[in-house]
Amino acid sequence: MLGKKIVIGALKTLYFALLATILVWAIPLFQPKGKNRTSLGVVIREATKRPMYWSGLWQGWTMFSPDASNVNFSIQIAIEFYDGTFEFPRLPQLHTMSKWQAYRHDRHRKFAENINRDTGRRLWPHIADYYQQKYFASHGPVKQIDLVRWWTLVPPPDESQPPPSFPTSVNFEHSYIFYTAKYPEP
Amino acid sequence: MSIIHLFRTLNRWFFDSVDTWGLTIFRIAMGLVAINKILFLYPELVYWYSNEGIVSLTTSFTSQLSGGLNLFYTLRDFDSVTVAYALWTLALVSATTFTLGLGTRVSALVLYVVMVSFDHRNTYVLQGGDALIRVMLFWMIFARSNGYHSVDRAIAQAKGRRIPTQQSAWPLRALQIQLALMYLGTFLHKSEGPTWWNGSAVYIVSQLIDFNRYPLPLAYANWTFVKLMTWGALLFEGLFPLLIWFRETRRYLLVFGIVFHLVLEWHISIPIFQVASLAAYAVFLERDDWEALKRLVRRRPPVTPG
Repeated sequence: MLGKKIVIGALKTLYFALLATILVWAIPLFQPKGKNRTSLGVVIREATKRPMYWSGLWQGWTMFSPDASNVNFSIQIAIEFYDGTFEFPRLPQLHTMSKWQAYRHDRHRKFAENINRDTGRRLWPHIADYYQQKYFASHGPVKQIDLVRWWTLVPPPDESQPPPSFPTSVNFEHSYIFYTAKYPEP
Repeated sequence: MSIIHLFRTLNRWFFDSVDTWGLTIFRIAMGLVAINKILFLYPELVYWYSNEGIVSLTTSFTSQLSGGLNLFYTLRDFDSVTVAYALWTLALVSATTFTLGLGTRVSALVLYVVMVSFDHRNTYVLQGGDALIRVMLFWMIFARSNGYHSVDRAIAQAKGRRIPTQQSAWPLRALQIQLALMYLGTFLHKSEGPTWWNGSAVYIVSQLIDFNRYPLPLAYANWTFVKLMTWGALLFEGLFPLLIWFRETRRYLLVFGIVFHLVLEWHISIPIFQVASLAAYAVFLERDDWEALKRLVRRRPPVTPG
């Protein structure tokens, strides 16, 4: 009887500890001001990182926050071949697809979003290598690959005019090479 | 109210027996959402989830999230394309049996493991809908959701047995708390952004071309509407985790939330997330709600011709 009570008590403790951990992962953590000060949330998140990542219970509800990104962008892959020719494919862009296709292929948007961020820099060499192998097979030896970001900013709201209508096309105004990979001649 | 009384009340709320009708509806709704997600994965299965695609297993490990529960990694010595198709098939079969309520808990466990494996195999293509399906499915492993509308129940009845329709509330409470935390997290994250407070966030989202789906002409007629939509979204997400627990406000919040997510589904292209959120609302449904809805429909005056 006592043993059963202890087991139930332990299971209840585990249950509430898990709920508390999920709370800490779901909400933003506020870092207290001052040197060497860490919030309890940060400590809990750090301590529970491994089991939460392992189990798939990690979470962060950050869509369009703290602010929605105000950038329309596209990722281009500039490929230079050893025969002196070039190819300029782009990662799939949802706005060039039909509504249904865009809905089905939404993961391309998320993927491009991750590449576009500096936090995605560990991905960049892998993306370049993927295109190098793909185009080596179809075109020939690749000399260099540049990952190019094309972008344009959403204009700030102008309340002297009515709100603009839904954009149906976009003209990317700026470009920037954010990663270059060079390949030796085979 | 004494602390002891509060403790006992909470203990009852978490652990007393409850009817599992809402869990059953949630199982069917979330199962259908999972099937939808799995079918959407099929056309690009090799591209996103095999070594012949853009995110090889090695590439996937550039993300710290990939190291956990991941059957793709467990099966890394086999041909990656075959593994992708095999796990996809397992996902579809387990999602179907879960939806039908056949071997319900085992189906929930298998579906959870496979869904987490897909999410961990390529974390670079995940969005909120994937996370919501994943974290809600976890609690369904422990929930008794086959008491109504399930093949398990039909089989048990044929054998002259009964499947209980009551269960200790804790898995249901965990599901409810998880959904409330999603809104709380969303609200708190957004509340750190100036565009949500100055009312321009919805305008910015509407100008992001890859999110555009179908227009909402009246909503963008003037800036006041745009601001009201921004603040309304923030207000709803902030109030949901506070007021969903009370009988007086629960139904209003659910109805408003259904409209909110349907409008977003029409207007903004974020596949899976809106339907997963709607499916998750079932954890707050009670049988009384269904009866009330039926009464409401019956009370409508008949349409007379002419």
